[in-house]
Amino acid sequence: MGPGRYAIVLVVAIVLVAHPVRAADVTEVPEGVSTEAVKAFRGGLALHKEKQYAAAIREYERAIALGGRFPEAFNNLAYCYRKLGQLDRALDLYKTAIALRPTFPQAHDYIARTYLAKGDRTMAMRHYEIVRRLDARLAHCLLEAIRRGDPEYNDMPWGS
Amino acid sequence: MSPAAGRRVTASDLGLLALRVGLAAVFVVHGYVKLFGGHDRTVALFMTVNIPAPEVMAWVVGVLELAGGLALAVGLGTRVAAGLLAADMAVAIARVRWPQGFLGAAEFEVVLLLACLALFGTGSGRISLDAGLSLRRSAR
Repeated sequence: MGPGRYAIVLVVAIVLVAHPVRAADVTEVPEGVSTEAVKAFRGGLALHKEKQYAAAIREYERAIALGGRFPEAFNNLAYCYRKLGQLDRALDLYKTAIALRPTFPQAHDYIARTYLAKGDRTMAMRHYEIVRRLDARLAHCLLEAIRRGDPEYNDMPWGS
Repeated sequence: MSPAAGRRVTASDLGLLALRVGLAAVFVVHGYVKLFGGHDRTVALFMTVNIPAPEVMAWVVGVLELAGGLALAVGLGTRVAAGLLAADMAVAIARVRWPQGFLGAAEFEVVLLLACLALFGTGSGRISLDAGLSLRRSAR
Protein backbone atom coordinates (compact mmCIF):
# COMPACT_ATOMS: atom_id res chain seq x y z
CA MET A 1 0.00 0.00 0.00
CA GLY A 2 1.47 3.37 -1.04
CA PRO A 3 1.73 6.49 1.12
CA GLY A 4 -1.35 8.02 -0.57
CA ARG A 5 -3.49 5.07 0.47
CA TYR A 6 -2.12 5.25 4.01
CA ALA A 7 -3.18 8.90 4.10
CA ILE A 8 -6.70 8.03 2.92
CA VAL A 9 -7.01 5.28 5.53
CA LEU A 10 -5.80 7.74 8.21
CA VAL A 11 -8.34 10.40 7.20
CA VAL A 12 -11.21 7.87 7.11
CA ALA A 13 -10.17 6.54 10.53
CA ILE A 14 -10.15 10.08 11.97
CA VAL A 15 -13.63 10.80 10.60
CA LEU A 16 -15.03 7.51 11.92
CA VAL A 17 -13.51 7.94 15.37
CA ALA A 18 -14.16 11.64 15.81
CA HIS A 19 -17.55 12.21 14.26
CA PRO A 20 -19.78 10.42 16.77
CA VAL A 21 -18.24 12.41 19.65
CA ARG A 22 -21.09 14.33 21.23
CA ALA A 23 -21.76 16.11 24.50
CA ALA A 24 -22.58 13.85 27.42
CA ASP A 25 -26.17 13.76 28.59
CA VAL A 26 -26.23 16.30 31.43
CA THR A 27 -29.39 14.99 33.07
CA GLU A 28 -27.55 12.06 34.64
CA VAL A 29 -25.53 12.02 37.83
CA PRO A 30 -21.88 11.49 36.88
CA GLU A 31 -20.09 8.26 37.67
CA GLY A 32 -18.03 8.09 40.83
CA VAL A 33 -20.51 9.97 43.03
CA SER A 34 -21.32 8.12 46.26
CA THR A 35 -24.66 6.32 46.59
CA GLU A 36 -25.60 8.51 49.57
CA ALA A 37 -24.92 11.68 47.60
CA VAL A 38 -26.98 10.39 44.67
CA LYS A 39 -29.83 9.50 47.04
CA ALA A 40 -29.76 13.00 48.57
CA PHE A 41 -29.62 14.56 45.09
CA ARG A 42 -32.61 12.51 43.90
CA GLY A 43 -34.49 13.46 47.08
CA GLY A 44 -33.73 17.11 46.36
CA LEU A 45 -34.92 16.72 42.81
CA ALA A 46 -38.25 15.23 43.92
CA LEU A 47 -38.84 18.12 46.35
CA HIS A 48 -37.66 20.59 43.72
CA LYS A 49 -40.27 19.31 41.27
CA GLU A 50 -42.91 19.77 43.99
CA LYS A 51 -41.65 23.38 44.30
CA GLN A 52 -40.66 22.74 47.92
CA TYR A 53 -37.53 24.79 47.43
CA ALA A 54 -36.43 25.18 51.07
CA ALA A 55 -36.61 21.41 51.62
CA ALA A 56 -34.92 20.76 48.27
CA ILE A 57 -32.07 23.09 49.28
CA ARG A 58 -31.41 20.96 52.38
CA GLU A 59 -31.19 17.80 50.28
CA TYR A 60 -28.99 19.34 47.59
CA GLU A 61 -26.66 20.80 50.21
CA ARG A 62 -26.50 17.37 51.86
CA ALA A 63 -25.68 15.80 48.48
CA ILE A 64 -22.84 18.28 47.96
CA ALA A 65 -21.55 17.75 51.52
CA LEU A 66 -21.51 13.99 50.83
CA GLY A 67 -19.14 14.56 47.94
CA GLY A 68 -21.63 15.15 45.16
CA ARG A 69 -19.73 18.15 43.78
CA PHE A 70 -21.17 17.82 40.30
CA PRO A 71 -22.58 20.69 38.24
CA GLU A 72 -26.23 19.57 38.34
CA ALA A 73 -26.24 19.70 42.15
CA PHE A 74 -24.97 23.30 42.19
CA ASN A 75 -27.26 24.30 39.34
CA ASN A 76 -30.35 22.88 41.04
CA LEU A 77 -29.37 24.37 44.38
CA ALA A 78 -28.91 27.77 42.73
CA TYR A 79 -32.31 27.42 41.07
CA CYS A 80 -33.99 26.86 44.45
CA TYR A 81 -32.22 29.86 45.99
CA ARG A 82 -33.25 31.96 43.01
CA LYS A 83 -36.87 30.90 43.41
CA LEU A 84 -36.66 31.94 47.08
CA GLY A 85 -35.33 35.35 46.01
CA GLN A 86 -31.74 34.86 47.25
CA LEU A 87 -30.19 36.06 44.02
CA ASP A 88 -26.60 36.67 45.17
CA ARG A 89 -26.37 33.18 46.66
CA ALA A 90 -27.87 31.78 43.45
CA LEU A 91 -25.30 33.65 41.34
CA ASP A 92 -22.39 32.21 43.33
CA LEU A 93 -23.75 28.70 42.95
CA TYR A 94 -24.38 29.08 39.22
CA LYS A 95 -20.78 30.27 38.85
CA THR A 96 -19.61 27.10 40.60
CA ALA A 97 -21.78 24.94 38.30
CA ILE A 98 -20.31 26.72 35.27
CA ALA A 99 -16.74 26.37 36.57
CA LEU A 100 -17.33 22.63 36.92
CA ARG A 101 -18.82 22.39 33.42
CA PRO A 102 -18.23 25.52 31.31
CA THR A 103 -20.51 24.24 28.52
CA PHE A 104 -23.54 23.62 30.75
CA PRO A 105 -26.38 25.33 28.82
CA GLN A 106 -28.98 25.32 31.61
CA ALA A 107 -26.58 26.93 34.09
CA HIS A 108 -25.81 29.70 31.57
CA ASP A 109 -29.56 30.13 30.90
CA TYR A 110 -30.35 30.40 34.61
CA ILE A 111 -27.47 32.67 35.49
CA ALA A 112 -28.60 34.97 32.66
CA ARG A 113 -32.09 35.04 34.18
CA THR A 114 -30.60 35.75 37.62
CA TYR A 115 -28.62 38.69 36.21
CA LEU A 116 -31.80 39.86 34.51
CA ALA A 117 -33.64 39.70 37.84
CA LYS A 118 -30.87 41.84 39.34
CA GLY A 119 -31.25 44.33 36.47
CA ASP A 120 -27.91 43.47 34.83
CA ARG A 121 -28.98 43.11 31.20
CA THR A 122 -25.38 43.23 29.94
CA MET A 123 -24.35 40.08 31.82
CA ALA A 124 -27.65 38.44 30.85
CA MET A 125 -26.85 39.06 27.17
CA ARG A 126 -23.29 37.81 27.64
CA HIS A 127 -24.59 34.47 28.88
CA TYR A 128 -27.28 34.46 26.19
CA GLU A 129 -24.50 34.57 23.58
CA ILE A 130 -23.03 31.44 25.17
CA VAL A 131 -26.40 29.65 25.39
CA ARG A 132 -27.04 30.50 21.71
CA ARG A 133 -24.03 28.36 20.78
CA LEU A 134 -24.98 25.48 23.05
CA ASP A 135 -28.74 25.05 22.80
CA ALA A 136 -30.90 26.90 20.25
CA ARG A 137 -34.19 26.11 21.97
CA LEU A 138 -33.06 27.41 25.35
CA ALA A 139 -31.53 30.46 23.68
CA HIS A 140 -34.80 31.32 21.94
CA CYS A 141 -36.71 31.31 25.27
CA LEU A 142 -33.95 33.19 27.06
CA LEU A 143 -33.79 35.92 24.43
CA GLU A 144 -37.54 36.42 24.72
CA ALA A 145 -37.19 36.64 28.52
CA ILE A 146 -34.47 39.29 28.11
CA ARG A 147 -36.55 41.22 25.56
CA ARG A 148 -39.52 41.23 27.92
CA GLY A 149 -37.32 41.98 30.92
CA ASP A 150 -39.02 39.04 32.61
CA PRO A 151 -36.62 36.45 34.09
CA GLU A 152 -39.51 34.07 34.78
CA TYR A 153 -40.69 33.99 31.15
CA ASN A 154 -40.81 30.36 30.00
CA ASP A 155 -38.45 29.39 32.80
CA MET A 156 -38.31 25.63 32.56
CA PRO A 157 -37.46 23.95 35.86
CA TRP A 158 -34.34 21.84 35.70
CA GLY A 159 -35.08 18.13 35.71
CA SER A 160 -38.68 18.50 34.50
CA MET B 1 30.16 5.75 16.16
CA SER B 2 29.81 4.73 12.50
CA PRO B 3 27.08 6.35 10.33
CA ALA B 4 25.32 2.98 10.14
CA ALA B 5 25.11 2.74 13.93
CA GLY B 6 23.65 6.26 14.01
CA ARG B 7 20.78 5.06 11.82
CA ARG B 8 19.97 1.97 13.84
CA VAL B 9 16.51 1.98 15.39
CA THR B 10 16.57 1.45 19.16
CA ALA B 11 13.99 0.65 21.80
CA SER B 12 13.95 4.37 22.66
CA ASP B 13 12.89 5.15 19.10
CA LEU B 14 10.03 2.66 19.38
CA GLY B 15 9.04 4.23 22.70
CA LEU B 16 9.03 7.71 21.17
CA LEU B 17 6.99 6.43 18.24
CA ALA B 18 4.41 4.97 20.63
CA LEU B 19 4.29 8.24 22.57
CA ARG B 20 3.87 10.26 19.37
CA VAL B 21 1.13 8.03 17.97
CA GLY B 22 -0.76 8.02 21.28
CA LEU B 23 -0.63 11.80 21.57
CA ALA B 24 -1.44 12.22 17.88
CA ALA B 25 -4.61 10.12 18.19
CA VAL B 26 -5.87 12.30 21.05
CA PHE B 27 -5.03 15.65 19.47
CA VAL B 28 -6.23 14.76 15.96
CA VAL B 29 -9.62 13.60 17.24
CA HIS B 30 -10.03 16.66 19.48
CA GLY B 31 -8.91 19.00 16.71
CA TYR B 32 -11.29 17.39 14.23
CA VAL B 33 -14.22 17.73 16.65
CA LYS B 34 -13.37 21.39 17.33
CA LEU B 35 -13.30 22.16 13.61
CA PHE B 36 -16.07 20.00 12.20
CA GLY B 37 -18.28 18.67 14.98
CA GLY B 38 -18.38 21.15 17.82
CA HIS B 39 -17.15 24.57 16.76
CA ASP B 40 -20.01 26.42 18.50
CA ARG B 41 -19.43 24.43 21.65
CA THR B 42 -15.74 25.35 21.60
CA VAL B 43 -16.61 29.02 21.09
CA ALA B 44 -19.04 28.82 24.03
CA LEU B 45 -16.33 27.25 26.17
CA PHE B 46 -13.80 29.93 25.22
CA MET B 47 -16.35 32.69 25.90
CA THR B 48 -17.08 31.20 29.32
CA VAL B 49 -13.44 31.07 30.37
CA ASN B 50 -12.68 34.51 28.89
CA ILE B 51 -10.36 33.50 26.07
CA PRO B 52 -9.85 36.59 23.85
CA ALA B 53 -11.41 36.51 20.34
CA PRO B 54 -13.17 33.18 21.02
CA GLU B 55 -14.46 32.68 17.46
CA VAL B 56 -10.98 33.03 15.98
CA MET B 57 -9.25 31.12 18.77
CA ALA B 58 -11.64 28.18 18.37
CA TRP B 59 -10.46 27.83 14.74
CA VAL B 60 -6.82 28.40 15.70
CA VAL B 61 -6.88 25.77 18.44
CA GLY B 62 -8.77 23.30 16.23
CA VAL B 63 -6.22 23.67 13.43
CA LEU B 64 -3.34 23.49 15.91
CA GLU B 65 -4.62 20.25 17.45
CA LEU B 66 -5.44 18.61 14.12
CA ALA B 67 -2.28 19.68 12.28
CA GLY B 68 -0.08 19.33 15.37
CA GLY B 69 -1.44 15.83 15.96
CA LEU B 70 -0.73 14.82 12.36
CA ALA B 71 2.77 16.30 12.64
CA LEU B 72 3.42 14.21 15.76
CA ALA B 73 2.09 11.08 14.04
CA VAL B 74 4.53 11.33 11.15
CA GLY B 75 7.29 12.96 13.20
CA LEU B 76 7.58 16.16 11.19
CA GLY B 77 8.53 19.35 13.05
CA THR B 78 8.01 17.33 16.20
CA ARG B 79 9.60 19.79 18.64
CA VAL B 80 7.62 22.75 17.30
CA ALA B 81 4.34 20.79 17.28
CA ALA B 82 4.95 19.39 20.76
CA GLY B 83 5.85 22.84 22.11
CA LEU B 84 2.71 24.46 20.69
CA LEU B 85 0.49 21.63 21.92
CA ALA B 86 2.10 21.88 25.37
CA ALA B 87 1.19 25.59 25.43
CA ASP B 88 -2.36 24.65 24.35
CA MET B 89 -2.61 22.21 27.26
CA ALA B 90 -1.14 24.71 29.73
CA VAL B 91 -3.92 27.18 28.86
CA ALA B 92 -6.58 24.44 29.03
CA ILE B 93 -5.39 23.44 32.48
CA ALA B 94 -5.11 26.98 33.82
CA ARG B 95 -8.38 28.32 32.40
CA VAL B 96 -10.69 25.30 32.40
CA ARG B 97 -9.51 22.19 34.19
CA TRP B 98 -7.70 23.30 37.34
CA PRO B 99 -10.82 24.85 38.95
CA GLN B 100 -12.55 21.47 38.44
CA GLY B 101 -9.95 19.59 40.47
CA PHE B 102 -7.33 17.01 39.57
CA LEU B 103 -8.98 13.57 39.73
CA GLY B 104 -11.39 13.14 36.86
CA ALA B 105 -10.65 16.62 35.57
CA ALA B 106 -7.18 18.16 35.12
CA GLU B 107 -5.32 14.85 35.29
CA PHE B 108 -5.74 14.04 31.59
CA GLU B 109 -4.54 17.44 30.37
CA VAL B 110 -1.63 17.33 32.82
CA VAL B 111 -0.49 14.01 31.34
CA LEU B 112 -0.84 15.43 27.81
CA LEU B 113 1.14 18.52 28.81
CA LEU B 114 3.97 16.47 30.31
CA ALA B 115 4.05 14.07 27.36
CA CYS B 116 4.28 17.01 24.95
CA LEU B 117 7.07 18.54 27.02
CA ALA B 118 8.89 15.19 26.91
CA LEU B 119 8.71 15.15 23.09
CA PHE B 120 9.73 18.81 23.00
CA GLY B 121 12.85 17.79 24.90
CA THR B 122 13.71 14.57 23.08
CA GLY B 123 12.53 15.19 19.55
CA SER B 124 10.87 12.54 17.42
CA GLY B 125 13.38 9.69 17.45
CA ARG B 126 14.63 7.86 14.37
CA ILE B 127 11.28 6.51 13.14
CA SER B 128 10.11 9.86 11.79
CA LEU B 129 10.18 12.20 8.83
CA ASP B 130 12.40 14.54 10.87
CA ALA B 131 15.05 11.79 11.09
CA GLY B 132 14.64 10.88 7.41
CA LEU B 133 15.09 14.49 6.33
CA SER B 134 18.10 14.88 8.61
CA LEU B 135 19.75 11.76 7.11
CA ARG B 136 19.10 13.01 3.59
CA ARG B 137 20.68 16.37 4.45
CA SER B 138 23.74 14.75 6.00
CA ALA B 139 24.16 12.42 2.98
CA ARG B 140 24.45 15.40 0.60
